Amino acid sequence: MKKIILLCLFFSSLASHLIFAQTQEELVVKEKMWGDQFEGFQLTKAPEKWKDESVVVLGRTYDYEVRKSALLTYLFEGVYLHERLALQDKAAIEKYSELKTGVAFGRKGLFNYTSMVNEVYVGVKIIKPDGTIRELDTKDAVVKEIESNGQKAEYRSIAIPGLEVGDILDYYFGEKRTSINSLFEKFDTQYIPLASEYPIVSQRINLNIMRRCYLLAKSINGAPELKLSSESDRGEMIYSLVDRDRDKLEYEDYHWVLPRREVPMLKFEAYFTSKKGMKVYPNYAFFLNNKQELKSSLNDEEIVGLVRWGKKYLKKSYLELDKFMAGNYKKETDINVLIEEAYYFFRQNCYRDGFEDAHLHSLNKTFGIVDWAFVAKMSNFFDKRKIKHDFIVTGRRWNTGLDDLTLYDELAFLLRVHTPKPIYLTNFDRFSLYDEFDPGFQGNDAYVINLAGKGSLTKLGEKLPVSSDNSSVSSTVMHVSLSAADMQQMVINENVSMTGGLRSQHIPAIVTPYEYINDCKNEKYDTPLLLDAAKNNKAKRELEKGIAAKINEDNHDRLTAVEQLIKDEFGLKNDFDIDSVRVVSSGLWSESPALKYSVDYRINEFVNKVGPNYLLEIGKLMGGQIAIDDKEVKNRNLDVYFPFARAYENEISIAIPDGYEVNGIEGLACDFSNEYCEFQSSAKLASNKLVFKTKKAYKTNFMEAEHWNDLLDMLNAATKISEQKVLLKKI
Amino acid sequence: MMKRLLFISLLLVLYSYDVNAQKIDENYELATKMTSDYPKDEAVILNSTTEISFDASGNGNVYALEKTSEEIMSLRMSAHISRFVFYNSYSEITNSRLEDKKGRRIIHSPVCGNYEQDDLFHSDVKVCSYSNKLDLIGDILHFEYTKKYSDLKYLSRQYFTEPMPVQNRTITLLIPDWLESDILLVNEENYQIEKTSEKLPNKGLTKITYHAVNLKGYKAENNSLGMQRSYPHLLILNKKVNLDKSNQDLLSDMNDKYAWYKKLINGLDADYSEIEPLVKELTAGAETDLQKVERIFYWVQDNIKYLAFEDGIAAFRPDEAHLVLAKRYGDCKGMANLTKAMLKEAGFDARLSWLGTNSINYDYSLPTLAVDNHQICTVFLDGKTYFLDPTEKFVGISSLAERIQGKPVMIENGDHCLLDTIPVLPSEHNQEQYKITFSLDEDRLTGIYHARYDGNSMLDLFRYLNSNEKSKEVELLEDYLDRGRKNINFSSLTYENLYKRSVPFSIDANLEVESSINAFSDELYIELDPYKEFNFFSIEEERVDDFYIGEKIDLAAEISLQIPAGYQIKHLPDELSLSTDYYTMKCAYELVGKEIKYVKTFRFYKSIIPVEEFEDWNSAIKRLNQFYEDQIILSLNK
Repeated sequence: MKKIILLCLFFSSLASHLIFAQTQEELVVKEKMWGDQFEGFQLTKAPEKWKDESVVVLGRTYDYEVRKSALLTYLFEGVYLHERLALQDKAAIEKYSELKTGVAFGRKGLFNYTSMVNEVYVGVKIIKPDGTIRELDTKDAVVKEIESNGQKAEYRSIAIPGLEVGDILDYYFGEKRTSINSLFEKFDTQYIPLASEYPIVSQRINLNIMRRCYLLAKSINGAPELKLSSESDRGEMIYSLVDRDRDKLEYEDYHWVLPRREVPMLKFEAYFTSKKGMKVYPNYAFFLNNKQELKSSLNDEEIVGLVRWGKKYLKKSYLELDKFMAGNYKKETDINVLIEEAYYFFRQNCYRDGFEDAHLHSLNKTFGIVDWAFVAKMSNFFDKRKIKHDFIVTGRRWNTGLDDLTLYDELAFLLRVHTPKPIYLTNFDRFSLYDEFDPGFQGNDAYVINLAGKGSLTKLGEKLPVSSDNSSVSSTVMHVSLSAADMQQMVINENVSMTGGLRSQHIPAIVTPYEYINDCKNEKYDTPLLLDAAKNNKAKRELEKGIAAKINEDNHDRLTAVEQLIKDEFGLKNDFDIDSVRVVSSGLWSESPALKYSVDYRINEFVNKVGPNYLLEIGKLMGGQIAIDDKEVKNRNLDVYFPFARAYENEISIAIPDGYEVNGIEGLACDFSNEYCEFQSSAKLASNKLVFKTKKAYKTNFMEAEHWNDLLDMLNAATKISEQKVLLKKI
Repeated sequence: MMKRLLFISLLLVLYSYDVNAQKIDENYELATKMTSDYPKDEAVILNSTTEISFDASGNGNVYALEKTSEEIMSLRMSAHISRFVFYNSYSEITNSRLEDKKGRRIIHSPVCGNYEQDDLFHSDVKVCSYSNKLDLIGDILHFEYTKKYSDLKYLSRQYFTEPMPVQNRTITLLIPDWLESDILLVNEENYQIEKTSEKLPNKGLTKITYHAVNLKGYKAENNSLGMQRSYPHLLILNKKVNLDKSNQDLLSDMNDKYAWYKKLINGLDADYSEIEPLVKELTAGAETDLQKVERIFYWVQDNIKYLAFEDGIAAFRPDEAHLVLAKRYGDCKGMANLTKAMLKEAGFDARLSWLGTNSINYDYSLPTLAVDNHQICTVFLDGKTYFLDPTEKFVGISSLAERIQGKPVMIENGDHCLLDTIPVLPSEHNQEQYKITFSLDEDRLTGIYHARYDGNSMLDLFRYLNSNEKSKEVELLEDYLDRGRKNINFSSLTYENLYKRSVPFSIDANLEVESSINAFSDELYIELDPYKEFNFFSIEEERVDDFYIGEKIDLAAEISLQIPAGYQIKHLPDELSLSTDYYTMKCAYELVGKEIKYVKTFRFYKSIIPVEEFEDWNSAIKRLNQFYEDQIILSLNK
C-alpha cells in the first residue's frame, strides 16, 4: 500500500506530461551521446589501482542545456547523463541489471518535475571483455504509466540483458523539459558532485547556454574551473569542466557532514528572461548582468542594490508594526525592549495569524516571510525609530562558504543592531526566540553592507557569533522507583527542560497546536480566536465541537510521538506504558525561553534478576549513545559540522528498595574533557537514593577532521558509562 | 391550495433540515465513541456492499460485474480518505462515484497507474486511487464503483476486510443458472460471517449473500506470508458456462487447468544453438549424471538474474529458454524453462512444474489460477525426483527452499499431469552451529570462535555476501557475525567452502566481547552469551497473521569459559527447557572440571508460529528473557 501512496503523492506534484519520444529528436540525442568522443568513453579497462572496486566509472559526462525554440515560445531545458562503467563484481551486476527511467529515476533527481512536458531519452550498450558491443533496444523496456485528470506520465523499467562480471555498461539517460516561455524563467539550481561512491577515471560537465540566457556557476571545494570551450554559429556558448582520477568518496552514512562545504562540485543555475522580465522580478535582476557570460561571483553593487530596492519596495509595509509599537510602546526608550517587541509582533503576524484556521481545517497555507523582506521591513522600522543597525549578508551554514556564494538563493540577510552587545536578528519560524541566534548562521563568515553613498561590502573581521554549549541544554531530572508489585518494572517520572537549538528541535512535537495558540498572547496582539469570530451560537457550537475533537486528537498524537521518542531514546525492545505527558512551559517567549515538560511512564527493561540480586542497567537511563560505524571511525577525513554546540544533562534519582544495598557506584564516575567536548558523570548515595548525574557536551559547532579522534574519545567514554550496571544486592 | 402546498413544502424542508442536523449530531456521537475502539484509524466503513453479477453479450462473451458501494465515516478532523481499486489486463473500472453526506456528487479525478510492488519487476496490476477530505468527525463519504471482468478465470477472490475497519460488509453473488460456480468461504474462523442462499427461479439465478460485521482494518504485518492465509475471503470457482454461443474457457477441474497450462507451453520452441555449446561445456568432465544436473542447475542460479514479470497471459506462459539465456534474466517460469531445456539437451528427463508457494494455502485440487504462483523444473534421475527451483540462489541440489517444501506440485506429463508433493526437509538440514571457547581477560571475554552453516542458514549468509562488494568479504562476514553488536569484535577471520552448495560453510576467528563482565567487590558477574538469540522476540498480541520465521531454524551453540584461578562458582543460571509441536528451546549451564559449559539449542519444526500459538510463544520468550538476564556469579576464594 505504501507504494501506491507514494505514487499518488508523486503524481500530485507532477504537473507534467512525461512522454517517450520515438522521434527524430531521439535519434539526434542518440547520435550525439554515442558519438561523444570524450576520453573516458574510449577506455575499456579500469586502472589497476581500482581493480578491487565493485564499479569504476571509466567516463561520465553531464551535459546541461537551455534552449529556446526559434519561432515558438517554448523553452527547453535538457539534462543528459552518460556513464561508462566497468562492472567488477556480482554486486555491480545486481545493481545495474535493472534501470528505471522517468518518474522513478527522476525522483532521485535529475529534475524535480515542475514543468509541462518532459521527454526522456535512454540508450544502453554492453561491451563484453572480448570487445563485442551489443546495443539494447530500449523499446523493449516495460512502459508504466500514471494518469489523472487528462494528464498522463509514462516511465520505463529496463532489464539489462546478458550482463556479466567484467562487462562494461555504457548508458545514457536524458530528459528534456519544455515550458512555455514566460517573462522570467529561473531554472532549478543544480549541485553536481564530482566525487561519488565509485572512483571516476574521467568526467566532464558541459553547460550549453543559448542567447538570452544567463548562467551563474562556480566550481567549489577544489573542483576544476569551468571554462568556455566553444561557441557555435547558432550562438550557443558551451562552458566545460573536465576532472580526472577522482577517488571515491563515501559519506552518505556519515554524521555531521555538510557536502556543499567539502565535496568538490559544480553548482549552477540558468535564467532566461528579457528586459521586461527583469522589471517584474527585480530581486533576481540585480544578479543577472551579461547574457551568456559565465558569472561566478557576486559583487557589492548587486547586493547593495537588492537591499536598497527591498527597503524601498517595502517602505510602507511596516506600518502595522509601527501602529502596534506606537500604541503600546510609545514612551519606551529601552532599545532592547523595542527590538524584542517588534520582533515578536512580526512573528505573530507571520505565523500566528491564520494558524488556527489552517490547523483546524488542515489547510495548506504558506506562513513566513523571505529573508530580504524581513530585514528590509525591520530596517525601515529601525530607521524610523533611529535605531542604528547594519545589514549583514552571509550564506546558510549547510550551503557553500562565503567566498563561494554565487547564487541569489544562497544569500541570507541578517540585521545587526548597534547595542553594547550587538543583537543579531534573523528571519524566524513559528517558535523562534528574539535573543537566540539562529544556529544556521553561527560561525559563518559574513559581509557588512554599507548603504551610504555608492554602497559597499566589508568582510566582517570576525565570524558570526557561536553560541556556547550552555545556550542549548537538555536537562532531564528523572525520578525512578522499582514497582512494588514487580521489581523489574521501573516507574519513571521525567522532567525535561530544553533551551536553544535543542528546544527548537523538539518544540513542534511537544507543544500541541492549541497550546501554541493559547500561549501566543493573543489579546496583546489583538489576534482573534476562531471562537470569538463565530457568526452565531450554532456556528459557535459546531466550532467548539470541532476544536474539542482536534485538541483530543492533538493530545493523542503527542502521546504517541513522545512514546516513540522515549522508545527510540532508550532503544527499548519491548512496548512500555506511557501514562501522561504535560507541558509545564511552552518556551514561546524570551521571558521563559525553556521548553519544559513532564512525562510519566513505566518500562520493563534494564532491571535484570541475577540469582537473588538485581542488576540495574543504570547507564542506559542516560539515553542512547551515538554509534559511529567502523567505516566512519577509521576513514573519516571530512570536517565535522555539528548543528550547534549543546549539552545534555541528566540527574537520575533511583529509590533503593528496602532490603537491598547498592554495589558498583564507583564504576559510574567519569571525567573526560577536551577542547571540543566533554563527558562527566558521578554517582552518590543520599537518603536511600542513588543519584546518578551525567553531562555530555559538544562545546563547539565545528571541528576540523584532524580532531575526529577527540570526539571519538568522548563518545567512547560516554558509551562505556552507558553500559555500566549497578548491583542491588539482597541484604 | 397553492399556499397549503407551499406550507407543506416548507414543513418538509424544515423537517429534513432538522433530521439532517439530528443525523449529523448522531454521527458525531457515534464517531467520537468509535475513536476509542479504533484509535489508529482515520475513518471507518459503516456499510459496504458488493454485488457480483454475470452476463453474456450478444456474441457470447461472458463477463462479470462487481458493484461496490461504501458508506465511510471519518473518525478524525480533516480525515484524508483514500480508497484504492485494483484492476489488470482482464478487468476494468467502468464507473466510479464519490458523494458527500447529502448525496451530492463530488467532482474528483482519480489517480490511476501501475501498482509497483517491491518483489516484481513488472506486473499488469494497476490501481486507481480515489481521495477526499472529510472536515469533521462523523462526516460521511459515499463511494461506489463498478468493475468489469472480461475473463471469469480472473474473478477468483473477494475479501471482506479493507485497510480501514468495516462495521457491516455484505457480498452478494447473483449466479445465473447457465453458470456453474462454487463459492468457498476461506479463513472464516474468528469472524462472524453469515451466509444465506436463495434460488430465484423467475430471474433464473441463485442469490448467495455473505454478511460480516465488525471487521478490523487490514494491516500489513512484518514476517507475514500474506493476507490470503489469514483474512476472510470468498474463493470464487467459475467452472463452466452452459450457453450455446459462449467461448469462455473456464476451469472445471484440475485436468482443465493442466490442459490450459499445457496449451500455453506447447507453443514454446527453444532454439538450442546457444544452449547446446553451453551445456556441453558445463557437463564436460562430470563424473556422474547427478553432477551434470548440479552443474546446470547451479549455472542457471548463478548466471540468470531473477526478475519477476506478471503481465496478462505472460504471467502464465514461460519465456523461451534461448531468450532467457541470451538476456541473462527471467522470471520463475523463464528460469525453469531454461533449466529444463539445458537438462533435456544434456539428456535428462526434465519437466516444467506448477505450484503455489507457502504464501498460498488453498487445496491444490481446486480448479483456479489462484492456487499457483510459481514454476520450477522437475527432473527424474535414477529413480529419484529432484525439484529444481533456480530462482533460489545457492540452494543445493539436495536442498529445497523453505517456501516450496510440502507444497503439492503439478508436473508436466503429456496429456495428463503428474501430481506430487515436494518433500519437507527436517530442520536439521538447516543446521547452524557455533562454538566459542572463552577466557577472562581483565574486564572482557576473549576467545576462539568456530561456526558451521548448512542448508538454508548457509543460503542466507551467501546471499548477503553475494549482494555486496566482493572486496569487502571479510569485513562483511565480521559484520554478519557481530550481528550489529558494537561490543563484539572479530579478528583473524578465515573461512572455507564459500559459495559451495554441497558442503557446509565454516568460519574460524578470534573473538573479543566487551562490557560482559561486572566486578562488584569480590564477585564477578559474567554475561557469557554474546548473542542471546530470540531475546525480546515476542509477537504483538493483536497480530492477525501467522508469524513466518523464514526457515526451520536449527541452531546449536556451545560456549565455554575457563574459571580463572582463585575464583569459584557462586551462581549459575537455572536450566531452561521448553518444547512444543513447533519448537524446542534448551539452554543449560554446567560445570565440567574447571570449565563452565553453556549449551543452547533452538530447533523449529515448522517455519511459522501460528496465531493460536502466540500466547505460548510469548510466555516462552518471557521465560527465555528471564534466563538470558540471569548471569554467572564467580566469587573470590576466601
